[in-house]
Amino acid sequence: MKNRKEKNRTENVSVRLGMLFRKKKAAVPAFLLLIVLLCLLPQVTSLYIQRNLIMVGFYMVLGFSLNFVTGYIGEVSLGHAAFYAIGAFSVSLLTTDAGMGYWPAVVLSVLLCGLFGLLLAFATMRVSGTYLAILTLAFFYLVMNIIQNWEGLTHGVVGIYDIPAANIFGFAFTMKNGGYYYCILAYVLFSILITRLLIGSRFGRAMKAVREDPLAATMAGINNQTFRVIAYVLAGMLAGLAGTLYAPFCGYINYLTFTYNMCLMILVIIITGGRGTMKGVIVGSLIIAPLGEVLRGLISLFDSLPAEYLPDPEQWRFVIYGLIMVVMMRLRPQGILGGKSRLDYRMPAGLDKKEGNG
Amino acid sequence: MFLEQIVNGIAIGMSYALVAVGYSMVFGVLRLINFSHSAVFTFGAFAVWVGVEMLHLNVFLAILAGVAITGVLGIGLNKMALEPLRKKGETGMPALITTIGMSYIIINVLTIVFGSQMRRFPALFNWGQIHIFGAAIGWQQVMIALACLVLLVTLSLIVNKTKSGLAMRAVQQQPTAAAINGINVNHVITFVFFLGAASAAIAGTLVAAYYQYVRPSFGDVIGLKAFAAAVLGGIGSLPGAVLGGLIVGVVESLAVFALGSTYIDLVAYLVMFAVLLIRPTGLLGRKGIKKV
Repeated sequence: MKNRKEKNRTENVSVRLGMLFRKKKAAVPAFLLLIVLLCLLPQVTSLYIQRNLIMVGFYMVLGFSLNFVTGYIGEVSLGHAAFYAIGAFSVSLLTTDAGMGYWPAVVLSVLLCGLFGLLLAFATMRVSGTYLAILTLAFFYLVMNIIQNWEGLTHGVVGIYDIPAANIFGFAFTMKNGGYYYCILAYVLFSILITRLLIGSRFGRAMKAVREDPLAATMAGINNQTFRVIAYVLAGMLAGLAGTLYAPFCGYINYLTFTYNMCLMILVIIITGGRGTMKGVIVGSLIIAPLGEVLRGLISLFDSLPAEYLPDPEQWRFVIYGLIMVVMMRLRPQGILGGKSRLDYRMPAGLDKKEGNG
Repeated sequence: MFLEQIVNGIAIGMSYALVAVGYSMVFGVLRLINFSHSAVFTFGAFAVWVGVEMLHLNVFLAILAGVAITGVLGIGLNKMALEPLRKKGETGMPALITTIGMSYIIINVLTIVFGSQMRRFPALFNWGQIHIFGAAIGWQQVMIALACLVLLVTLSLIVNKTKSGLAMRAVQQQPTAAAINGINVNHVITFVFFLGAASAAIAGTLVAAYYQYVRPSFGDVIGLKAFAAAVLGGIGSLPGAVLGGLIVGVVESLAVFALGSTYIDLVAYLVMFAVLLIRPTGLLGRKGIKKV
């Protein structure tokens, strides 16, 4: 008995670390190695590749954000780009018109997005399913409509020019010095960390319970609404965080920067990979985000043909997204990597697994 | 001016009602909001546009052909995408995402084929104006409202007086019991999709004639407003859809009158949020319908 306790204590640190990356001990060094490799990547790749990697990073963060709502709560949100837009516009206005520093502006913008998340969660309190999907879509149109028309605040259709580059201690990010790449890499790692911490906790279990059966969750004493609200606020903040980097990355944004296509792309990412899984978000964004560029590359192989016979990759990309949605739902609704977890259920600390799980 | 806005509101509101009925009917039998309904609406308007402007058919013939083709599209949607899911017992989120995907495919194929720019749509009832109480009211608006009214009455006769309508109502109440009594549930669902798509096509034609243009993104906002109407009236209820459509249309027109046209689209969305927050069953909705 004493021996076991001793063993437990020594394992404690590695177990806790392992909890972040699922239990396998080899996973930790492998993960660190992967991060080092990812850090070295911009040194060897072209700017074109780097740009695409950054876009994948943005969509990965957005995917993680939507995953809180669609993956763990089980509600389809069609307006997720609204938070992305709010984050981007708020940081741009705070750094240009209000003349604030970049990081204070980021903090304020992320908080604002959290507030909008809260607002959306409350406004959709009594609905679920398609009703909720349509309300989130209306939320997106509402936000974009206000951004387009409130000239005094958002510059209306003109948009915001000359957004200052993001910087850290006066060191301005550019594509060349890889600043945006490292920043979005850090955000992706942060999203992974926060998701891992969340789903391993009481909140995560409660959220999954709400997704599987709201009624049973209520009967088990879980306040559905609390967890819904937490998920929405977190999702809003994370998407807003991505937006605060996207605005200086683009340098110019207007109301057309954020579209319904973007909302659907985020949804397609987590459907393809597997909603409610972290691997799914990563794999989904690696497949979906560069699809436009891949199509463009494929089509340019046939450039001996006259241009009017060649399909427009921008448009066909969206048809493919639609097809992915329909086909995935038909053949593999849980996504490529989704489905039942093959790992043992981890009992909360303090409960012996043998006693608890039989 | 005031009266004109009211008439405008009624005309556009009746068109919303016609789209809203499509949402309601499908919801009635499947307990599913057909998210692709707004795409079907746009498809219908384009089908008629092709007939009139490209093939130079007679307007009446073009509408008939466009409506028939759109009805077939509705059946195809059900047979190809939704029926296999029902057979696997996958309703709920997979069905919702499938309809989102189908709507996305339809809209983007339309964009590829016709381009995203506005196309001029013929004004169908360009017969000038009538003057009542000092207000100049276009025949266009009056005829659109009347056409919608005739169609809505026809639909309600189909639902309430025919044998197929009886089957529809039976499936609506209890699909299993209906099947035991010899009703082919799949046929009923197919018929509902046909009716919904056909009425969406007619509504699409009328709305396109009202605004005198059509383009692929045309149905997005109108679909959303029609949904707001369906929700306001109470989803699953035919008179509710009409009432909701009229309220949304008239309130919107009056909002233009009072606030200007900048924020017009916001009115319908705010109405929708308010209804779903305060009274999710809508004005004429029955209690006990579980919103899944």
